[in-house]
Amino acid sequence: MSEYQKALYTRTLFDDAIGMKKEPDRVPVMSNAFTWPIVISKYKLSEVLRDYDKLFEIWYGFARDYYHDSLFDFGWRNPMRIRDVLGISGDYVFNDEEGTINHIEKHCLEVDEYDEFIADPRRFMMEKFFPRRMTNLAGSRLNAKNTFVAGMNEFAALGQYIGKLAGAVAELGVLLAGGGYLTYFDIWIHNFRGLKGTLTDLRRIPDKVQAAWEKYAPMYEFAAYDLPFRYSPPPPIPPSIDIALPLIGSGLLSRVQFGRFVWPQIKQVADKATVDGKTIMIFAEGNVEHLYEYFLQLPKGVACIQFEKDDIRKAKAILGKHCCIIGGISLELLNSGTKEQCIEETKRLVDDLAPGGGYIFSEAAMMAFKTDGRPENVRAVTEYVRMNGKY
Amino acid sequence: MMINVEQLAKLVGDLEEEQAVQMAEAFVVQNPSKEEVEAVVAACQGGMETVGVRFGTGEYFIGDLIYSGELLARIMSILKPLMVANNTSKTGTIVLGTVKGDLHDIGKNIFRGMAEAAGFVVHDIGFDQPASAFVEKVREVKPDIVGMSALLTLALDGVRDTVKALKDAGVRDSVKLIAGGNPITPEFCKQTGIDAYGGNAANGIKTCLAWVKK
Repeated sequence: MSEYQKALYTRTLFDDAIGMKKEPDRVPVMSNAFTWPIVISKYKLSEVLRDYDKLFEIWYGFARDYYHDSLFDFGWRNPMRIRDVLGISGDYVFNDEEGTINHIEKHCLEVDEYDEFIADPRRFMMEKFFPRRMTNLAGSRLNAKNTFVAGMNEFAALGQYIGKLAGAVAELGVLLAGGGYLTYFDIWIHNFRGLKGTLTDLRRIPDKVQAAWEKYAPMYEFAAYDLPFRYSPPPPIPPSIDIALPLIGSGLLSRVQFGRFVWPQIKQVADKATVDGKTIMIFAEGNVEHLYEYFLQLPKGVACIQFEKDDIRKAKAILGKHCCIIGGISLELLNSGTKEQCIEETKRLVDDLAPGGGYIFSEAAMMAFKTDGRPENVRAVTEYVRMNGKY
Repeated sequence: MMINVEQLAKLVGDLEEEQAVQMAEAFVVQNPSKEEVEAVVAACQGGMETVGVRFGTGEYFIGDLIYSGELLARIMSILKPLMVANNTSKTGTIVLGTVKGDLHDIGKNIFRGMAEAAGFVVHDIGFDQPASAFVEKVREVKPDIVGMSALLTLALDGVRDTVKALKDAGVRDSVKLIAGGNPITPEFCKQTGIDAYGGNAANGIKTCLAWVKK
């Protein structure tokens, strides 16, 4: 098979699992590795995330040496070169000895600035948000222009790296996951008001928050959905799933808050994706069992949901006729269990979750630290699914 | 009584911030007695207990706990001048921090808010704190309890180091130890010699209250 045929075959595995019209040939395997392949390598985390040659070496090696069908992260989550150039790296604290990154919360919108934002969001973004969030844009117009150009060049360099990696791993039959799309709630937490600020605003000034998001939405929808998924040509190598939609903070919300502040946006993007023939992977952090009633309103066959702390068998029982389920093997077992124990658990997961289709195997949580799995165990479970997860 | 304490407790428990704040503001301008101030603080504690119970039953979520901490801090800032002036009695003293290697402080801050609401004096030493900082603070303020918070699995080493440093400094037996955060489990606490597993903030406070009431 050519590189492109191999890529199409893998894409078909994911499409069949998500589309739920037929069982795929076998259970697809999605990687949940983030910084883990880097922190178990010979390199420093802070060094690799700033060096595309080393990133390529790590992620190509990971695709070659393990048996995932798709990589979810492959260096896009922490694009340090772009952050450095724009001046948004100050909230990252690296510990290369331990292999960790801590993030420090940064607010770019004060609570008394909502009215100003709502009155003219574009102006607020240009005059206040960007200089606060991207500190290298502050200062003279010339400095801002030079920083902007340097930032665009770094975006292009990231794009080149991703294109090169996508082509190389496609020869192995491995695909990269598609572009990211965030909820306004998570954008607010990470960029505008911080976690505590956002959660408090939802209680104290919910109408203002909603008004601000309504004003922000057209800008974001164009940049994060329409431009990449409607107006750009499709990538030469197809992604495993088209749109990656992380739900980072939603598990903290009550079902009523989620229903008012987050769900309408997800429903809207799912409806758009259905029209556009795109697939969505919802990456749900924490426990989201209280939100299943909403997930049942997703258009059937357009989304898959990665669970982290939910009972995945229960999730499959409740949601399984409606959307595809991703997840399964615990990091604790991958780190402290024997190879045999890991394979036994994987067999149980596949036996319970694969029948009828609509299941993608994965590590149950983001693999970020050295202790999130032993390489031989991760290799054994992914190999098991590839060899035995056949329908 | 110049204030309906049952109603205040209900408002706090229901997270009705504006009405609860209005009641507190109306109360403090009436020159209340020490006993009346203590009854109002107790009402807030009762409201926070309701928050803890509702979190335990799944009615409230973590976002509600974080918000309840903000609500309570606002009411306490209104009552604080009276509490200082009246020398309102304290429940106990806690030294609290996120251990070395971990810069997360939201869980710690929820716990702090609830502990202060329960009447504890909390010495919060911040996040990414080495074991020596815990030891130093324990020597300085001689607390009843030391609380350690960790979110990253790797920060479990920081918790172990802190327990060891407290033992090495000879102050371990003068305090009760409690730990909380995502990677902390009852088994880990048992293995590490920590007296109690925090679970969620509300449960942790219950444990601390039980210790100081003995």
